[in-house]
Amino acid sequence: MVAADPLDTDATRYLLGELPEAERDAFEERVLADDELHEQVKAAEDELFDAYAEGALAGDRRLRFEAHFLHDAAGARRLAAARAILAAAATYRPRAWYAAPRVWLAGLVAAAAAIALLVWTARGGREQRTGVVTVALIAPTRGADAPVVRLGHAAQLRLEPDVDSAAEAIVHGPNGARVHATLIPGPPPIVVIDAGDLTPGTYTLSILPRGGALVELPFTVAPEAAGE
Amino acid sequence: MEHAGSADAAGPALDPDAWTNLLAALDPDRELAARRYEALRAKLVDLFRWRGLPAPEDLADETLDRVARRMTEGERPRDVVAYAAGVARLVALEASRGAQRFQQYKSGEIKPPPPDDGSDREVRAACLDKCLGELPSGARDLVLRYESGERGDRISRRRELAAELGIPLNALRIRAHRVRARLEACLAECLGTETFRAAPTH
Repeated sequence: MVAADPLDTDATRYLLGELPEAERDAFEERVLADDELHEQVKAAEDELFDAYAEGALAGDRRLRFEAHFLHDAAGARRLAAARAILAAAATYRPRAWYAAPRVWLAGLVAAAAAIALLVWTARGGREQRTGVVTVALIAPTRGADAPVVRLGHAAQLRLEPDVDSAAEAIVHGPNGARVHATLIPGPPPIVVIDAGDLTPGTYTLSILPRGGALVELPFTVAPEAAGE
Repeated sequence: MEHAGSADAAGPALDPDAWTNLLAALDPDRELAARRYEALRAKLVDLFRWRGLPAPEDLADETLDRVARRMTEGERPRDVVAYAAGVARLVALEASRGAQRFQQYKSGEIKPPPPDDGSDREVRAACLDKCLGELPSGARDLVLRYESGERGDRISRRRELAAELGIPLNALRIRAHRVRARLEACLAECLGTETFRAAPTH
């Protein structure tokens, strides 16, 4: 169960030095053994920097935060970064289609599908694919499925992997077969696949960042793409 | 590997066998063992940092030195990571000023950080624009949507975002953290070390 208040977690209590010694030691042992918990604690650290920047830490917690995290240049830099990110997010407006309520989105998709079907029929059933579907691929975490891609009538799938650089990218399809993909090194790196080469199923993008270890990012092409 | 058995105040430099033993205990595959070692070291650095201890990298190295040395002396822990956690506790205890820091801070012995005077806000914003521009659009959307809105509304907005992406809230937090870590690294590079360097307070 995830706590509703991100400041009311074991991770934030640990970071602020509020856990009793025995609990703290046990928590640290779990962090060393569990990669995901380690990341959760780092995410909680972000949360504390945000809370401090917004004046949401009061009393003892504020003092504890200052004592633990703002005693060196690195802490000051992170606080400055938190303020900048919050300021940018405050003026951020998501793209209208992205923020649209699902019901509208579903209506638009249905309307687009109906129009596409009419055009398809009028052209004697010849497939006409246009446009690009873009998907951000972020390394999977526990309990999070691979992103599902709905190609619709797109001509291309554009993958944006969560890596800073890429020397090589390979895509494997549902049967392990290699799918032709074009790497645009960037930064940020982008991988483009012709939608006609994709059938429903699970794919893996294997990407080799410059000077880094291979990262495998799965994604699934939804069945709706079949026969379009 | 950055660290390969440096000499430390607690004892002489480690012989290569000590490192071989430690790596073998982490994983029989040499390459995987090296990765596990680096991951363990990164976590130890974070744990010491979170305890507010100075020079957390040195303390992590000290911990791993001791683990390797004890294994050479005949110690055979069933779980090397749990064993390292125990050694880290001792190292932290010896180095512990963190426990005192809060009390020193409360009593005014340590000065609070200077307030943000906003003098470099424009530079900061320009750098952030540049760094956001270098992110893939999906990652940019994710981190800005994750951080957007009033603090009170943010919890429900994040739940909506997680539902939209079809992932649990915890997974969303981790994804946002990963993007933010990249953003912060870019910001630090853009701003240089001087711009936000605070005067040491201890």
